[in-house]
Amino acid sequence: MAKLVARSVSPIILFLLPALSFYFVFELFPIFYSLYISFFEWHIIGDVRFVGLENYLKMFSDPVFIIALRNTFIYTIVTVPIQIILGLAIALLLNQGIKGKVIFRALYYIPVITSWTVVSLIWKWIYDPVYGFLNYVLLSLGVIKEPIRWLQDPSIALYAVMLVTIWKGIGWNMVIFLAGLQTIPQSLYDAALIDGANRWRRFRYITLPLLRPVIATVTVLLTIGALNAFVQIYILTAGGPLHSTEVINTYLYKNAFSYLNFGYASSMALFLLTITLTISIIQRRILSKRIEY
Amino acid sequence: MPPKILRYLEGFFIYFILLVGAWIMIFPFLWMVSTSFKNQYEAFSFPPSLIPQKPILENYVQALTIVPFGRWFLNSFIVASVTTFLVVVISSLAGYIFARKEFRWKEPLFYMFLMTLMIPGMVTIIPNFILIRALGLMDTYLGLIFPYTSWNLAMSIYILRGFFSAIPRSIEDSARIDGCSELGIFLKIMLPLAKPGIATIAIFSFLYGWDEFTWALTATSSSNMRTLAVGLALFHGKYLTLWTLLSAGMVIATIPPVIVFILFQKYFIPNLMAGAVKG
Amino acid sequence: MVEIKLVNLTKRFGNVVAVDHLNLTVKHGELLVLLGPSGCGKTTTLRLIAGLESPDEGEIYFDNTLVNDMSPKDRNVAMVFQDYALYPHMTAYDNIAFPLRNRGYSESNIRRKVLEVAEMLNIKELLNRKPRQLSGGQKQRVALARAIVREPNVFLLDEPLSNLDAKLKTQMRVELRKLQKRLGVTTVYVTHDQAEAMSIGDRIAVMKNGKLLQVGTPEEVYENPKNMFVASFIGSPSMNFIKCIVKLRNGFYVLDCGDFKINISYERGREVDVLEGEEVILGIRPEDITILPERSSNAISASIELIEPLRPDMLIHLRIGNIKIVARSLSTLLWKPDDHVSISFNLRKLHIFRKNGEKIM
Repeated sequence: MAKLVARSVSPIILFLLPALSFYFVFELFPIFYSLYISFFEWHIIGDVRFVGLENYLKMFSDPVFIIALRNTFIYTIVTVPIQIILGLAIALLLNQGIKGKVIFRALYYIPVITSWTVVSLIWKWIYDPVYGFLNYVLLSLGVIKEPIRWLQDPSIALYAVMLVTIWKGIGWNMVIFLAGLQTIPQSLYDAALIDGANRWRRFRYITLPLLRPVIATVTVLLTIGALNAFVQIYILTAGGPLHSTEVINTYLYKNAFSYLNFGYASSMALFLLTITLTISIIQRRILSKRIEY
Repeated sequence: MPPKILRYLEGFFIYFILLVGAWIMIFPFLWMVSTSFKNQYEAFSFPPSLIPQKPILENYVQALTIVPFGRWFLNSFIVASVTTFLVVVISSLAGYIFARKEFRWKEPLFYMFLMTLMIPGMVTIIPNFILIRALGLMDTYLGLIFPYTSWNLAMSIYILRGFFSAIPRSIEDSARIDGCSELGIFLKIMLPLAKPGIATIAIFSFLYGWDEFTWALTATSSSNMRTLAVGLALFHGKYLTLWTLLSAGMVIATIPPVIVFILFQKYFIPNLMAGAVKG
Repeated sequence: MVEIKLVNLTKRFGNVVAVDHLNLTVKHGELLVLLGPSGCGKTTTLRLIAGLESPDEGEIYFDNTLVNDMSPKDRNVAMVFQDYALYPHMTAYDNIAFPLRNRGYSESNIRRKVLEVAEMLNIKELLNRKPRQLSGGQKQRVALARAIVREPNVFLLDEPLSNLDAKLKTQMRVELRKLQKRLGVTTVYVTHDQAEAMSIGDRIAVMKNGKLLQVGTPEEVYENPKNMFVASFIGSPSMNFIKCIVKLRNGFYVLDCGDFKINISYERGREVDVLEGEEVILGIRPEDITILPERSSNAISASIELIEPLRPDMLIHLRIGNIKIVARSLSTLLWKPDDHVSISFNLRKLHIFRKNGEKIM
């Protein structure tokens, strides 16, 4: 009996050990360590001083942080809904029984599988004020009279960055929505047609409600992604010009690895973590509440 | 208007929008490829054209020889491959346990893994930096591989658990009756039947290792240890106007993910969705 | 109440002709059953009438109005689908109200109508439930309610009973018929179950491979099937078929079926277009075969292979030489397997078909 227990316990521990160890060392422990660091003023070289909540308070009187907070907020509010709407629109179009659906699906998915680095660099070139393709097209079509300094103009840069994010994300949304649309039985649409529902009513009363769970999940995932955007901003603008594209993550990174202020950076990281978790939980509650059947 | 014509118009309209959208999606990549075959003069000429007038291969040659793209490519390849291997092995073992065995801490442990999917990477960057430095793994392959592996475990275990759970217990039981050992069952039955799941997480992990930027930026400092993602960005930072050379590098950097995508397309889209919709 | 007229109706899907030049009229207030095996085109025909598919050739008329180009909404038809197609996220009340809301009725009007219909179908207490909280039979009644509430011109029912268990099926059959009679709406009913068709239809249209084989009252198609397929499809257990050769003896036609002969007493030349030596197929229904109480040398001799004591009927599987047939008998168990008996056929109920299935007489 003891032998049986021993034999059935040890494989479990054995099999789980590598996963658990890697996980504890590089994921779990760092999270708590991060919390710990945030209570210190910790410059990588030199003194380490316990300061309690000072780092957290400092954040809110730091004008750059406030700008970063605002930008993060704008970034999320703009990119998430637009990606969802466009992704859903394309999915709806593709679901009409189009020939070549598979090819379209693949084409729209290409930006999704490409790395953020490559995507950002390509767009940086396209956004080039003098030699970039975008300005060339807009100027030749007469849409603009002077070249737009997409990434150099503080009032436009954030929008330029958001455009890249939206562009890259549409395909991902589309693929998920397509799968969701395919779970809706055709007989429901037939019945609605006979019941006299026009196209808009079929969308509003059948498609949309039945897609709600999918939309909810996608929204949560996209929001988490938007709050934590880093790579594309770092490469496109590094947070500039004049902090117009600074988000919490980029400012955090600068504080950690340029100004070498680990403590302050950690507090920002934890603040971001809190916001992310809170928003996801709230979103999950609101969006899932009315999933009826 | 007679309905048949209306329907044709509608179909045409739909196609038109889809085509415009598809063009917008792929044009930047075409532009990248095009630029990689241009010389500096042509790249900066006005008006710019999609098809290079005088295409050259020079950029590719230079990329592989003069600039350390080749070395970066190798680095990315090693890091991505080893990470994939580790992730597959470790998460198979763990996923199997979560799917099939019962023990006291199973539920809490699993939820713990799941929770970290919501935790943004930046939170762990700083402590990991300190940790890796302390372990003397800065600027090494392992310094990248170990964290990458760890960060991919949660998602991989989640996905594999799903696949393992879907295998009917009756198959396992009949193997047991046929005298197969526990390890044998794992290796000869569970793993092969979970192949699609393993393919999925292998793809995920490989692409993750290949594309990852933030940590690679932080944990490597010398030029010949950089991965492609970081190398390309830093190269651009240094030579702001060498778009032609950079484009060639980017094309080379994009080839392996594209190959992976084409080869494993059937695992790609449905499973990414499954992971996304559930996660 | 409309009369539906289908003229030369044809629909193709790729290379398959689902509905093949169908000509059919559904009379005012009638319940017409489209009967046939899967894939015979009956559901496609229904969908064409509904406007969910558009025909490649032919016309559909509602009371002399051409409706080919009209959308389902404008045709004012109501349909009950095989899987009920209830909107899963709406309550039964909202499901039934949906068609009325689409037409812009006022809420108070809607409420009145929904309750009225719910009362009629006995589902008033279920109105607040969602489809997943309803049983099969309840879902079906909600689907019916949704169809009725609009007071449509036409009811289209696509195998509405196929998802119910046997007992409920027979119950609902009767209820559906009563309902239809009460409302008097022209109805087209699709099924593959011939018993259902016989029980519920005013007329039955038998289809196969997209073609209409025969249309008539249940009596007509049962007693007078125009071809072998209809004869075999209608009636359970199905008609017996025996291959025979036509012979002439003294001016009378005799069917030589190998192990026995039947004198069919038609004088030569009497309306029958058949040649000596031609191969035909004799059809006889189980209930038209009598097992004689005593053996007779003038009757056909057969041996009993198997008895199915269904009660009150018995199905007796007989063998005449190499020929196997089934007879139906109400008698008590006088016989047992391996018994030899004499049987006779009701000569007035013989159906004779050519090899290609056409009816001769």
